[in-house]
Amino acid sequence: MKRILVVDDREENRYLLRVLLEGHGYEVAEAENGSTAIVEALSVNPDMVVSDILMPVIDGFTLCRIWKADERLKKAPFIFYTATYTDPRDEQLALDMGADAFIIKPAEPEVFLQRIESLLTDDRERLLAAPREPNAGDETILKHYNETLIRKLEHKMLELERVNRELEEEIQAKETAEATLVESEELFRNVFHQHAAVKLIIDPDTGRIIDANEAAVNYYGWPAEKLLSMNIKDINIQPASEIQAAMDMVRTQERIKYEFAHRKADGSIRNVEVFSSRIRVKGKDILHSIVHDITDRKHAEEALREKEQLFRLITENMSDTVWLMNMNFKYIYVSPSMVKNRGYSMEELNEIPMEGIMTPESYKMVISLIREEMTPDRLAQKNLAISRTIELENYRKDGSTFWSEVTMTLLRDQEGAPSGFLGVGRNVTERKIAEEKLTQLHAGLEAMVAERTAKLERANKELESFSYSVSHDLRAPLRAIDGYSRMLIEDYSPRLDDAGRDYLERMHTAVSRMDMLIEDILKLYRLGTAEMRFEPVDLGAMARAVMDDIAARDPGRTAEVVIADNLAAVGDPALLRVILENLLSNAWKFTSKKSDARIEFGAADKPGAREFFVRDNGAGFDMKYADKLFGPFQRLHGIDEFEGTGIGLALVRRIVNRHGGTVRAEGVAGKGAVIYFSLGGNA
Amino acid sequence: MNKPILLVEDNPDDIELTLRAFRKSNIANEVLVARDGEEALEMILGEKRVMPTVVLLDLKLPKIDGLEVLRRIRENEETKLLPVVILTSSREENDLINGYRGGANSYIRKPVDFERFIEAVKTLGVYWLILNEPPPRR
Repeated sequence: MKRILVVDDREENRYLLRVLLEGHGYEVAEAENGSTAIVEALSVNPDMVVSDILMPVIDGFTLCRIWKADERLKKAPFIFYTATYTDPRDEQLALDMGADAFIIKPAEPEVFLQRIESLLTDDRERLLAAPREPNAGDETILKHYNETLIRKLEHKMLELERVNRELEEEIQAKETAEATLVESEELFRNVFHQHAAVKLIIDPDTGRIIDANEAAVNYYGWPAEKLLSMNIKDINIQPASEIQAAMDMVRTQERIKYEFAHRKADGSIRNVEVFSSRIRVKGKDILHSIVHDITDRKHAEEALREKEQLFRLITENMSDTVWLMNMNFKYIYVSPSMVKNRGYSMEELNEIPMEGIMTPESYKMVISLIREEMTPDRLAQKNLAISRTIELENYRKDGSTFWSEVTMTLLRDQEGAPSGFLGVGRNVTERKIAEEKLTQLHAGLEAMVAERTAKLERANKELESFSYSVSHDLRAPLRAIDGYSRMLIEDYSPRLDDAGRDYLERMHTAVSRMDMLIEDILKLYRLGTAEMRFEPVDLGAMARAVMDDIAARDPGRTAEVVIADNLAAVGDPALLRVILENLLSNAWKFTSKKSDARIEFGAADKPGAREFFVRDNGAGFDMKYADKLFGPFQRLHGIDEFEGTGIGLALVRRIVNRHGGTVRAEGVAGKGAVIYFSLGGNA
Repeated sequence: MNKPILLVEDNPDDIELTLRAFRKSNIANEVLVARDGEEALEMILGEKRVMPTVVLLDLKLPKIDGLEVLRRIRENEETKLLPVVILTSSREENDLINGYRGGANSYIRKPVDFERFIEAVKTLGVYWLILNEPPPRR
C-alpha cells in the first residue's frame, strides 16, 4: 500500500484529502506545516507528499527545497496542492524547485486521483531512476521565491486594505445604528410621557413603579413623586400573589391583557384593562403597562347583560314567538318558543324556502303583503313605520298545521335604511277553531231563524186569510138567517102565534151575539199582530176619560169612582186604552147590582215593576176559577146575569203580555174583584 | 127612464136581501145583477154593455175579484168616472185602503142585523140615485 503524506495547516483540508485518498486505497499521514512534515516524512517514509504552500513555521516552497535537497526524501514525488498560489509564475517556481506536480484547488476528485495514480505508477520507475532535481541554481530559485513572496505580500496587503475598509464601513453602520437607538429611546420617552393613555413602567420582580406618565399622575391623583415611590400592589386591589403571578406571566408571553380593579388616590375603585408588554432595558426585563379605565364600559356591559338576561328570560319563557329576519328573509333569531312549537331549529327553517313553512293560501297572503307594503318608494321613506298583522296557517315539522297571528315590523338602521324584520307571533289556532265553529253556528242559527221566520210568515198568512174568511164569510150566512127571520115576521106575522114569533126573536138575538163573537175573535187576532209604539202615557187621565164614556152610555147609574194621581206608564196608547176600557167596563158591569158601587184605579210599586190595579166591590168571583178568568170566551156568570162574550180579560192579558208584563186577579164571590197588571220594564 | 143599478154579488141570500131593501126603499131603478167579476166586466165593458148609475161591488168574488173589477173600470176611458160603491162584509183595514186607493167612491160594510142592512141600502140608494149628481156623459 502506498503511503501519502498530506501537509496542510488547516485541519479540514487534511481531513478532506484523507477521506478522498483512503477511499481509494492509500495510506495517509498528516503534517500541519513544513517543519512537522520533515519529521513525519523521515519517520513514516512516504511514497508521496501533497503539500499546501502557505503554512506557518516552514511554508510549502521551503519544504520542497529541503525535500529535494535530502537524499532520503527526494525520490518521493512532491506535489503542490494550492488555492492561494494560482499565478503561472508560482507554478513555474514550484517546478523550478523540483516539484513533481502543481495542482490548483479545488480539483475534480477523478482528475486529482488520476494525477496521483500516474505519478505513483507510470512515472515511478523514471522518478526512481532520476528524481526531479531543481532545474535552476539556488540564486535564481531564491530570487523567484522572494518575488513570489513579495507578490503574495502585496496581494495580502490589498486584501487587508479591503477588509479594513469593510470593517470601517461596518463600524460606521454600527455607530449610525447606535445614534438611531438613542433617538428612538428619546422618542419612546416622549411617547411614554406625553401619551394621553395612562402608562406605567413596572419592575416585574418587585412591582415597584419605575416610571409613570402625566396621564397616569392625573388619572390616579397622586403627585408624581408619590406615585413613583409606590408599588403596583398599592394600586391593584387584587391579592399580591395574583398580581405577582400576572407579572410573571408577562415574562413568558411578551404581551398580555388583564382586567383589574385599581384604587385611585381618592379611594374610588375603577375597573381597568391593562395591556402589559415586556421590554428589555440594560439586560433586565421591565413591564410597560397601558391602563384603560373601563368602569363605564363595564357598567354599560353590566346593564346590557342585565337587559339581555331580561330579554332572554322573556323570550325564553313566553308562549308567543319572536323572530328576526334579515333583508334576505333569512332568520337571524328565533325564540325558543318558536323552535319548540315548530319543531324546526333556526338552521332548518333557513334551509326551507318560505313557501314550505306555511300553507299556499298563507304564502299568497305574505307575498301580497310584501308587494303592498314593501314598495321601493315606501322602503325609501326613512321615517315610515311599516308594520302589519296577519293571520297565517303554518306547518310544523311533523306536518301538522297551526294558526298564528303575526305582527311583522320592518326594522330600520340608524340611517333609516331597511335592515330586517321583527316578527311577533301568537298561536291563535283555538280562537280560529272557535271562530269557525261560531261562524258555522251563526250560519246554522241564521238558517234556523230564516226557516222559523218563513214558517211564521206562512202561519201569519194563513191566519190572515182565516180571519178574512171569518170576517167575510161567516157573516154572510148570519145576515141571511137574520134577514129571513125578519122577513118571516114582516111577511107572515099573521100566521104565526106568540111562540113562533118568540122563536124568531131568539134567532135574531143569537145572530147578533154570533156577530159580536166574530168581532171579538178578530180583535184578539189583531191585537196579536198589530205593531206597537211605546210612549209615555198618563193612565190616570186615560182612565177618567174612559170612565166618563162608560157612565155616559148608562145615564141611569151612579158609582163612586176613585182614580189615583201620578199613574204614569210607558206603552202603546191605543192598546193601553183597550185594557182600561175592558177592566173599567167590567167593574162598571159587575157592580151594576150594588147600590154602593165603588170602582178604584191605582198603583202599587212592587219589586221589579209597578203594578196597577182596578178594584170593585161588585159580583166578584170564586178564586178556584181564577185561572179560567183570562181564557178567551171564558165566563163565570150567566149570560142573562151579566152580558158579554168573555173576551175582555183575554184581550187584557194579551196586551199586558205584549208589553212584557203580567196580569192576575183576586176576588171573593159576591164581594168584589181586583185585577192587577204590570207593564214590564217599560212601564 | 132611470138608469139601472149594477149589483155585483155572488151570494144569492145577499142578492135577495139587497133587492128587498131596494123595494122597501121605493127605489124603482132596474137592478142588474152580476154573479162574478167576469160577468160584471162583460156587462159594463162588453159588446152589449150598459152604463149603470152606480155599481155596488162586493170584494170577494169568483173568477175576478172586486178590486180587479174596480181597477179595470177605472182603467177604461168610458167608465173611469163611473161611481163605484164597495159593499162588503169585510171591515179589514187592508180592504178599506185598497178599495179607496183603487178609486172607489164609497165603502159600505154590510151589517149583519137585517134592519140596519135595510137602512144602509136605503140610505145608499137615496144618496147615489137622488142626491148625487153623476158625472156628465160625453
